[in-house]
Amino acid sequence: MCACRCGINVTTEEKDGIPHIRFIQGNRNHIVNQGVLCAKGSAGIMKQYSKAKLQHPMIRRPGTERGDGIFDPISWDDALDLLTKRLAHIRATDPKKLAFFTGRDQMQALTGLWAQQFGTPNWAAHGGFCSVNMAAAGLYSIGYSFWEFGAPDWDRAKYFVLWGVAEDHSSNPIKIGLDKLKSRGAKFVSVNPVRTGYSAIADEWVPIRPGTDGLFALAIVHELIKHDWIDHEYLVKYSNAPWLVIDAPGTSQDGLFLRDAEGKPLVYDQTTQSACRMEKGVAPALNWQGSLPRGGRAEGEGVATASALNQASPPPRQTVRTVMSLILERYSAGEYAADAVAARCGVPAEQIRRIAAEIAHVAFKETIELPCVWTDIYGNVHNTVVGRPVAFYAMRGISAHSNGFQTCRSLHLIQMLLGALDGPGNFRSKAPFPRPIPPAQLPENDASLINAPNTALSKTPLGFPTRPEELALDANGNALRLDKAYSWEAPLASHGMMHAVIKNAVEGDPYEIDTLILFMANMAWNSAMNTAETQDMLKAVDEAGNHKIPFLVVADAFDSEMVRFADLVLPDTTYLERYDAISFLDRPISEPDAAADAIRHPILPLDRDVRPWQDVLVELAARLKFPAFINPEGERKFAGYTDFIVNYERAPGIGFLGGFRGKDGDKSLRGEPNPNQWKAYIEAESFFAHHWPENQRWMRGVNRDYLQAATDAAFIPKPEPIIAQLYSEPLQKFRLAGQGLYAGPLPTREVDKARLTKYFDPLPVWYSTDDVGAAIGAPVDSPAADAFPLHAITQRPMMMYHSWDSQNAWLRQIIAQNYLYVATSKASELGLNDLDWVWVESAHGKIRCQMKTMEGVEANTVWTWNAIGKMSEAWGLAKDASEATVGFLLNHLISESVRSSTGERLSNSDPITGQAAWYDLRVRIRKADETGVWPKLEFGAKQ
Amino acid sequence: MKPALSVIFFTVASGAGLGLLVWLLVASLMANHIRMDATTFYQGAAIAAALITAGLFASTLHLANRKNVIYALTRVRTSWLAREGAFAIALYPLAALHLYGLQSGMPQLTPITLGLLIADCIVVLYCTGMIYGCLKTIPRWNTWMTPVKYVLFGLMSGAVLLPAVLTLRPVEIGPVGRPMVAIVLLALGLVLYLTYLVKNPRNQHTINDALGFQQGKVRLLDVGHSHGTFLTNEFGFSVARDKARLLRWIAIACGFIVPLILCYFSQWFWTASIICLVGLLVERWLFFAEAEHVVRLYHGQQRV
Amino acid sequence: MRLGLAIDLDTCVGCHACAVACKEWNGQSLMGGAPDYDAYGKAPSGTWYNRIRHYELEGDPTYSPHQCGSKADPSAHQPLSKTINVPMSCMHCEEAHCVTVCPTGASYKRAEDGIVLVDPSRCMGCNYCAWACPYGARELDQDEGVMKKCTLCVDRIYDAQLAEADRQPACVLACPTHARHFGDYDDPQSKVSLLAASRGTQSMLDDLGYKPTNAYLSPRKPVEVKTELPLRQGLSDKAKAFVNRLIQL
Ligand SMILES: Nc1nc2c(c(=O)[nH]1)N[C@H]1C(S)=C(S)[C@@H](COP(=O)(O)OP(=O)(O)OC[C@H]3O[C@@H](n4cnc5c(=O)[nH]c(N)nc54)[C@H](O)[C@@H]3O)O[C@H]1N2
Ligand SMILES: Nc1nc2c(c(=O)[nH]1)N[C@H]1C(S)=C(S)[C@@H](COP(=O)(O)OP(=O)(O)OC[C@H]3O[C@@H](n4cnc5c(=O)[nH]c(N)nc54)[C@H](O)[C@@H]3O)O[C@H]1N2
Ligand code: SF4
Ligand code: SF4
Ligand code: SF4
Ligand code: SF4
Ligand code: SF4
Ligand SMILES: [Mo]
Repeated sequence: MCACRCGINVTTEEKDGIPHIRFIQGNRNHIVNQGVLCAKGSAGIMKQYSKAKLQHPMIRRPGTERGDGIFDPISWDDALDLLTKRLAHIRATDPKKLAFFTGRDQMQALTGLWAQQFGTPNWAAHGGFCSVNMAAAGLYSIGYSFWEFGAPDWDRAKYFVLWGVAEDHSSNPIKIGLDKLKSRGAKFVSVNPVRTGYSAIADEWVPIRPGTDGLFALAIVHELIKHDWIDHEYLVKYSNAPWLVIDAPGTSQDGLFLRDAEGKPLVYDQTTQSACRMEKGVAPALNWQGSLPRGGRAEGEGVATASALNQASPPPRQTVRTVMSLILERYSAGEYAADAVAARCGVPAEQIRRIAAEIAHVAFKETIELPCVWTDIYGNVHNTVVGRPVAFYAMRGISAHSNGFQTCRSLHLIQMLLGALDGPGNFRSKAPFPRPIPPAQLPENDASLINAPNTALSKTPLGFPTRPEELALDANGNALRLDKAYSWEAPLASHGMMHAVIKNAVEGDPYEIDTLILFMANMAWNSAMNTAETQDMLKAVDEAGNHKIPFLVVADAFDSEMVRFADLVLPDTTYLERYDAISFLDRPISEPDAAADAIRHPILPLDRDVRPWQDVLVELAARLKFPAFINPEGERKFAGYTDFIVNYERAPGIGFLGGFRGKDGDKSLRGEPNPNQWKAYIEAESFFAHHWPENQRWMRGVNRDYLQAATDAAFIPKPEPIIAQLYSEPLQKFRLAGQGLYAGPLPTREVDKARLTKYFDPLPVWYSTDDVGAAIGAPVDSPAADAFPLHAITQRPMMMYHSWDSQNAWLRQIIAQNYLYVATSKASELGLNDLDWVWVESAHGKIRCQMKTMEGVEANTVWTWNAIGKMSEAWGLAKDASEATVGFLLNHLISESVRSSTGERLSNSDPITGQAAWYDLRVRIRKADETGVWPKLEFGAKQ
Repeated sequence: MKPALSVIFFTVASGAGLGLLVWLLVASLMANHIRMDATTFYQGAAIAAALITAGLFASTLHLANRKNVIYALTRVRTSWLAREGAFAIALYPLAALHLYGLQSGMPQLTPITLGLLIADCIVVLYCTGMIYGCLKTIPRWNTWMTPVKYVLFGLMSGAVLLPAVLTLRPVEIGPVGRPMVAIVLLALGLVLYLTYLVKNPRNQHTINDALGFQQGKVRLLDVGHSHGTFLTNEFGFSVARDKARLLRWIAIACGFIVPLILCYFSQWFWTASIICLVGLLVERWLFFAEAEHVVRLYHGQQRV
Repeated sequence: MRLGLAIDLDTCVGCHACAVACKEWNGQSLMGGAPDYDAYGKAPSGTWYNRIRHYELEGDPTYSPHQCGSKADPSAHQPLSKTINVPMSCMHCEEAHCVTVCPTGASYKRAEDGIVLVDPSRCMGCNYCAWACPYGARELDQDEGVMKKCTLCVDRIYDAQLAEADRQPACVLACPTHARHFGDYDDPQSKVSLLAASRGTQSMLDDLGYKPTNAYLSPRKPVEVKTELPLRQGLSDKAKAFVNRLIQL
């Protein structure tokens, strides 16, 4: 397998008895890339021969400063002894003083388990950077999500809308899919401020103003409900649109679902004219409001009833209304009319109305019906499956804004109203999804466990809270986690908040740590917001001269900017030199029609003194005697990583890899460990795919046979229906907490109360990203917004993987310098010309870079390619490499923190999920007299 | 186009050499009218040969793989470059034969070899011109004027050199009169050059033609590489407009007008020759520097 | 046979995958390499047989039928702009002037399949063929001193050792949007011939008369959806107007 998820065939050639790579080709049989290969994939050969490969473990030379990048070699034995000693001490005293954060890898099942076994909650991966808004919005709404948990039905969709995607993780499947769409004559709409890449080939380009997609989407919702262009049947049967919501303002019940004594939500049955469960034969009303005799408990699970709060006797009846009636009321309002939003999002009202009508037309007039016998959750057998062939896909253009969660929910709202989910032609789920909404996995929040020495946590540190009790808070309401994920600041931070780690650690807020381990993350460069200051923070010392982050371990394969700031560097192998598993316990390589996972195995022998990081983790786990890694006699259980993968079982028969299980390798998804599993995978071209039978392929959240099969495979705990949530009760519970009405933990800071009340709307809303203060710390239309009138965003270049591809001799020939692209009209307004050097200023800082004009960019947006700028001398490049002298990084302009109006320091994030709000950035530009990039950072020097 | 100094030197030097050779031969034909002794002839011929040969050598300097120059003549059927090479090399045996005829008293040979030599010189000049003139990819060159320019400028610079050569032995041949051939050719050269400048064969192809979009305005967004490539290196050369204008005046003045004046009003033929050659070098530099290859359209230029 | 590529400007997203796959295959093959210069230095450069360029086409209503951008906010008003990615390698021209101008015979066009190649053992590196090529398809290999260009992967397409499906140019195999097709234009039933005929092709400097074999399939006219749904009014006045349907679970 290649660097991310695609299958490759590597041809090697012997030169002086040593195999060299001759050619890398896409594996035609692979379910992800089907033979094709991206530029990075082909250039893999030059990563292997990169000058920047680390050669051996290194320790910072005594007497040198952190960030000077001066190291002494150290042996693996010494390095591991040193680290074991330090970690053992932390674990035996205060385990949370270890923070272990990892980059954009797909080995979180192992790293998460490792952290859990260590006993620290301070673990997460890059998800909080990229995608948590997408993942969380989907998992709290539809049971699967954009990003990696679903894919459009490229073979059947007739109308496809792509929201804010430049490249994404499944870039090859998207490209294969776009070709399919276009050759079938489907319409492809790209909503994106910039027209490059995928957007270049769109039938229609919608140059939206950054951060306003939610408005555009809700205006589409307005059109859909205004004309009754909705799928009544889907909404009644498979969504919570008919569920009854308690209307009791000012009480702890307000906005919660009406439930029976067993906690089952109730609907209003039109036949019996009473509240009933969603059961076969019932005919729920979509639009109903009224009062009902107090049925069963309105809400269980430790939430006090209104009476408990009000000290009054419960009213005999209560007012309830369906979710759909709330939706009709909210989105038919004039504020969501196309004319009202047009100016704000830069999309003409006529275009909004036309697109809404086109979507509805395709959904309802170009419906497809596939013959397929399947059984729904009510036991009804269907002979066909109906597809409303409209598909959406979205990623960071939506995600990387502080309103991304609600915007993404707005997109899902459209899909739900159309009944366009997981049917033919829709956005479809990929195993192990769909999962219960949200997945039944809670973050560890037991303070006594977290503080207990030498004790593993009871669960992995990350999960999906559904109510305030499930936040990770201590008795005083302070964050248990260093990054403050699952605190009042970011209650649904399902992926953690890596971008807050360094600042919080240095400020000792919420507490100080001892050791920070970073794996595969360039946190001193483009993984950091506010890069220059982050570097200073990494170097920061207290009065006594001790580093505020006392010990910094970096596990990387190349000489990145981050490596230079390490105290201890543990060099990793490359992806062509090691074993890896892309596991069902993590983010496997599934596609809608098949559950699939994959492996890597070494193609080349090691030519230097490096070790696979996962082997190092297993080794450390054994040395530190993690319970899951030793047997009752206290001896190590697993010889190394490969042994671990084969023999570790999370539950009986469930391990990291789903393929070729059972003693003879003939069992799929569940089965005893197979000692020859690696061999079987290698023989099977390094992947395993379980193709879903026809009856389990569609509508999986409400497909009885699928739900059973998924339960058998341990993808879901129970074969229970997964009902789409237009209205999110968990959000309402947090909102009640903000309002002081929740009978459970309540926030004390005003800023938290305000945040919960404002943003935790159970129905999708749009709010300006300027309001959140993420970028400029002041509400829109204020002088500050005028001061920084332009939006500044980045895009991934298709042929570069973040910071680490500039070392690649071929790829850097394609791009070794980036420019700031400015709309031609804006440039002439500002008196700027092609190749001018300009100052770009944000409320946080300024940079100098070179600009170019273009037509295909929204007029109030400027943008550049991400992560082309490099620090001088990093990555094996010459000191005067153009990446360092003329290439630039936008991150200097982005603050990792914002101040609330009441003075608290908050992270620059979505207030719901903690997703890093990279794209909220607001700037102004002016011509510079000087040339050359500024700031120009150098190791060991202070700008 | 990148103005490769070796090629510029080659075309100017061998052009002048060929021209000089032509006029020496013509002069030797008209021995009755032009008083030129054998020594002068041989001196002149040596200068011509040196110029031609130096030019030819220089022309191989820009080859990246000189060892394969041995194949350079194998495609005379289609390639003007091969033809030029072949005819240029043919000069040497022809010249040898002619010499043999002159020296060994096979006088019946000399009129034939003399005619052939003159023809070959002109053919070589024409071939050189056609090397550039045949390229449809470079509109500035792809005109009848290119080979005519090469022939004419070669003969012209040779004609200016001839009286200079004749002054080498002033004692014996006495004062030299006005070199009317040089004067006429300088005037013709000037006319041709001005015609070329006025006609300015350019702007024939647009970026829309290059990409095949005839409606709308095409502009380059990104060229797909951050630094130079072989193509930008070879075809990306541009001269600043002011500099080009200045150089054009220099070419006109030095290449034609000043030598013409000198030839008409003075006997400073060497000075005239050198100035003329300098002017032609400048002209030739501009010939390359201002030529625009259509590939530039793909690199974003709107017209070529 | 008249072998060549058909490159689809409708689906090319400009990802450079083909260019890099080409570099990878040809960079070290028997046909000779495609070297890099100053690979880790100030201004990296190298020899490529295939390069991708990106253009904007403004004001062509064919490709942007809808006006976009807000009229309410004139500063956000957008031009009718379309981005077009154009990969270019050798076109294997029928009138390959690059071949006729070559003095050494190093450049040749194969009679049997029309592939234009350079024989490095004859090439003297005079660059003349590159001058004659309108499409920028030839680049000098500065290490070997010989001219390099797209070989149409002649060392793949006839290699009987390779599986049938792999006897395709490296760039064609790699292209993630399947924007590149390879085949015989002399065969009217070949995929490339059919595509070129059905899709229409771009004329690229055709008036120079080189008769390129490769075809650039024109971008398709954007799909337009004709809507025929009833525009019901009245629902906007709140939930009251919304009629429940009797749908049984
Ligand atoms: N080649 C390559 N592939 C990669 C990566 C890489 O570095 N290189 N990185 C991988 C990783 S870690 C990630 S997270 C994924 C991310 O993959 P993408 O989601 O494709 O990430 P971006 O490049 O940030 O693209 C965001 C797009 O949204 C647009 N945009 C910005 N703001 C808005 C907005 O407000 N509204 C709308 N509608 N659009 C907007 C931008 O113009 C851009 O086109 O890619 C993965 N794949
Ligand atoms: N302005 C701006 N900033 C951004 C973004 C943006 O869109 N705009 N995107 C953000 C997002 S979503 C992300 S994910 C980050 C990513 O940004 P980075 O953290 O820069 O990610 P990478 O470049 O992928 O690589 C991280 C590190 O992994 C190392 N590495 C590569 N292969 C291996 C390996 O096999 N083993 C080990 N141990 N290390 C390896 C590399 O050398 C590198 O140092 O950037 C974020 N920053
Ligand atoms: S997207 Fe590209 S780099 Fe990533 S795995 Fe696929 S081919 Fe490799
Ligand atoms: S594209 Fe250029 S190199 Fe290729 S055949 Fe045509 S003229 Fe020759
Ligand atoms: S560079 Fe080589 S192939 Fe090209 S014209 Fe010269 S000799 Fe022929
Ligand atoms: S056909 Fe082969 S040589 Fe030509 S561009 Fe494609 S990969 Fe390169
Ligand atoms: S690989 Fe395909 S999509 Fe990518 S640039 Fe080449 S032709 Fe275009
Ligand atoms: Mo990411």
